[in-house]
Amino acid sequence: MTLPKLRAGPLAALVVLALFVVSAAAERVYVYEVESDVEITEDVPHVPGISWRFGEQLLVVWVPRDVAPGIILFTNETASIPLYDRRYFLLVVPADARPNQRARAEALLKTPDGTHPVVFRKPDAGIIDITARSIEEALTTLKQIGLQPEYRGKAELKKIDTAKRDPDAGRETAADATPAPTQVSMPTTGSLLDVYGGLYFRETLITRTGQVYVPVHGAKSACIDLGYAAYVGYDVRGFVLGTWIIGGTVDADLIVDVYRIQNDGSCRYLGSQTFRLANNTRYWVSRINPTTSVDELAVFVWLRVRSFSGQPRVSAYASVLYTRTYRHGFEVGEFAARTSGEGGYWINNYVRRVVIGPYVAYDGYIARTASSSLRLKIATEPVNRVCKDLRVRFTINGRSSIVTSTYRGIYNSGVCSYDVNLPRFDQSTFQFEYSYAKAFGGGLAWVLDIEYTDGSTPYVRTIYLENVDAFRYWRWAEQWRTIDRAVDGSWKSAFLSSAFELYAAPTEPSPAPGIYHGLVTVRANHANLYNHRVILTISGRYIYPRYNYVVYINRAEIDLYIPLDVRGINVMGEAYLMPDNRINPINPPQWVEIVLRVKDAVDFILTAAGIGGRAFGLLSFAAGQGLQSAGDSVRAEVRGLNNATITYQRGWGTNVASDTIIAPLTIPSLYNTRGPTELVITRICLDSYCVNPNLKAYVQPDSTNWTREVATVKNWMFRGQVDSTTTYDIPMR
Amino acid sequence: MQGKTSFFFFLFVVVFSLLWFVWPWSWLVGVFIAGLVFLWSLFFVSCVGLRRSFVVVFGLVAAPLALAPLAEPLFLWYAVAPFAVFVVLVYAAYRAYDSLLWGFLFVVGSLWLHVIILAAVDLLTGGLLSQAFVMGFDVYVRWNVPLIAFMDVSSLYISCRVVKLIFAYVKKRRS
Repeated sequence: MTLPKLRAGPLAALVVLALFVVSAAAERVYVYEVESDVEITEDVPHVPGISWRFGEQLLVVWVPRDVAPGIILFTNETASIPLYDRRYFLLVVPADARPNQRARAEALLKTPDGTHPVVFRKPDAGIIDITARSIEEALTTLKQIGLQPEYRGKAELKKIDTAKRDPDAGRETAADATPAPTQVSMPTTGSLLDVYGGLYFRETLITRTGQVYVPVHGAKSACIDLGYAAYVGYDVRGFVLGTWIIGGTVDADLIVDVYRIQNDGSCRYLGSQTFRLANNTRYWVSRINPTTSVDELAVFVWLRVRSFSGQPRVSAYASVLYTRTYRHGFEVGEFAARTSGEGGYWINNYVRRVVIGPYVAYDGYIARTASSSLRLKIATEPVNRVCKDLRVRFTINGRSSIVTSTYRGIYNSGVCSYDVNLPRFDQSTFQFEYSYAKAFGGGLAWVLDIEYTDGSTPYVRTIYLENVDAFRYWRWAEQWRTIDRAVDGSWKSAFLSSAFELYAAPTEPSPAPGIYHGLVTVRANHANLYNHRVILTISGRYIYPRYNYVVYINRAEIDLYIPLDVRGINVMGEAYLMPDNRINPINPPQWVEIVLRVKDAVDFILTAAGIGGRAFGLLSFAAGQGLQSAGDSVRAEVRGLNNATITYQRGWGTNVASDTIIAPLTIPSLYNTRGPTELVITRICLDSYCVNPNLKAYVQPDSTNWTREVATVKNWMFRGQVDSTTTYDIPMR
Repeated sequence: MQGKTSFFFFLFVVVFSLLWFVWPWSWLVGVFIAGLVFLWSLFFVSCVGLRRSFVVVFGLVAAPLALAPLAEPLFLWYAVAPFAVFVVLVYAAYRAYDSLLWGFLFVVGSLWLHVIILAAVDLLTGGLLSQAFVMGFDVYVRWNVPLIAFMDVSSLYISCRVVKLIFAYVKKRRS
């Protein structure tokens, strides 16, 4: 494995020197606090005609509109929670900007220093946006990237006409706003899908100047002749890289080398893009686009460190937008995140923000398929025995606002109760936040901004979460692109799973509640397998944040509906997944197995004696059932022709420190199917929390027109679930 | 005197079984099972005559049930313990009636009668008891164990008394 050839000829040295000279002379910039009537996406403001370090581009820096006391429900922590707004940001404009006033503008930036024409497009200089916690922090970050910022006050960004500036971002249109409670139906076969994936890089400690590699997570590179490269794959529409720095400051360039993976697994260099490394910043890598990704791509990320202070650690993640065609009826799965099974929280505090989440931003989200039916009951202290109207602003991650709605309180035994439900959902807002979260390896949370309509802060007594989906979407989990004529052989061993995530709280409010976190996944195993065709994983744990105490899952029940005969369903090879990813088979304690046989013999005598055995009796019950439940058990039961229940119970006599159970299912009728099969999880009970998720998963057919297209297939998904080095080797045709 | 002790242990079993509602699901379940076996045995033996030595013997019989999770071979005792209890009970009855046959018949008779009573109750309640028995020890569904304990000891309380009366009657007729 060789390291990349970093073209460091004399010419490059000159370029570096030139860059250094330019950056040494800090460029004066004006910083405006902008109120905009345009929500900023990856298309950022440019001023035609200006020319500075970032070309015609202006830098967007997000700062919170305000910070207010809030409660993070699932950990029961109070915290200051910032609220950003995609119509409020700082714009960085070169001080000596001389715009071309005659250029066609989509919007006008009105500043105390004059008016600039603005057009929106993908960033010329690559920086999409920078996020800061305050204006001061924003100015510091700007200084770190070699600018000399001067805060110049407020400005306005106004659209010139009502024409949509970008058909993709048409979020003002009513058609885009689906009513909240709708569960978006499955994509139709033959449709073209926008699918998000993630790339994950290892956190890199900066200990020296010069070249520093940012290796891909996992041990295996995408290229056999180049270490640390990350696999990107085919048909990419957009590639957004997110970086953040903790523990110090770094003055460095961020370089993304793009490679084409060749048939023999080696990589050919296509080109590079150089950005200025900044904290909490997203970059648009334009070299990875539909044209270049006709070939299979890989990226290599590295830094050219000029100087650093402290012990900075640089992290990078990427959000990748793929184009995929849904052809065969089984390349999708579903993800559902539930708020809880009717959980109650005792707040008793003045609260402006309520955080519900974060939930995992599962890889493979298919754009425009998200939904939410968030619903909660907020009980507040009446003000002078009157219930004031409550205004609730629903935002995702405290940045993108979905909707604002006002609720009337009902006075009831000393409290005002508000039935707060999400009135509508917005697809492009969710899409923006999902992509943003992936670029920083983050999750998705609802952040509710609550206040009385007169602007005062409510004193919240309790919050009850209803048993509903916080987020739900269809997901794509492909390692490869599918082809027209047949099903690509890689699908035979596809790593596709539908996942269900649950957060639950005690049914009654309690001052120091534990929180329950559960995850159930279903995936199809290799085609043509008789045994272990479907793999079910069940995870769950109680966490008591205040006491730093965790209790692992004790019992689970999962109801499965299959439109085939379920007779003969069986769990085989059940195991615990240990924290170190080891698999620990579930067997009854060795002696229990032997004892059960001995007991059979003894029971015969005892039944005759009337002491029990197989007859009624407390003694035989205590000993017999006590023995039965001493070991861990996972079993499948048939309930009618199409329904089965999978039950797990932790044995009281075993003590395996794991919260995850793997249950491989054998379903005889799935063998030799000729079309995809839809499995529906109709009910999930994790410990004492039960929900009816209606979660769908698809099993690929056994016999169909498989072809062998590709040499290797790598997972860009499920980094947390499988080792990212997992490679399926499939011979070439 | 015997009746009082018997009733005392009857209450003891019932109250102890109620602890199941809050008993933690861990190796401590073994302690619960041992406690149940211990108290039930003392309850039964109190019907024919409790001696201090029986407390020790039943303590020894029950202890391995509690310790099994710590030393797995002790799980064997779960198969054998009911038989061991049975043997001690027969011995106790033998002491009371001075005859091994009578002792054996007393224990088997009481137990069978109590099984019949339970079966009748099960029939009358539409299978509630058998449902409770089949459920076994569940992490979350806890009502069945106290129910079984209560039904079992109360029917045994009756059956033991009945068998005692029958034995007294037979003895009287013989003499």
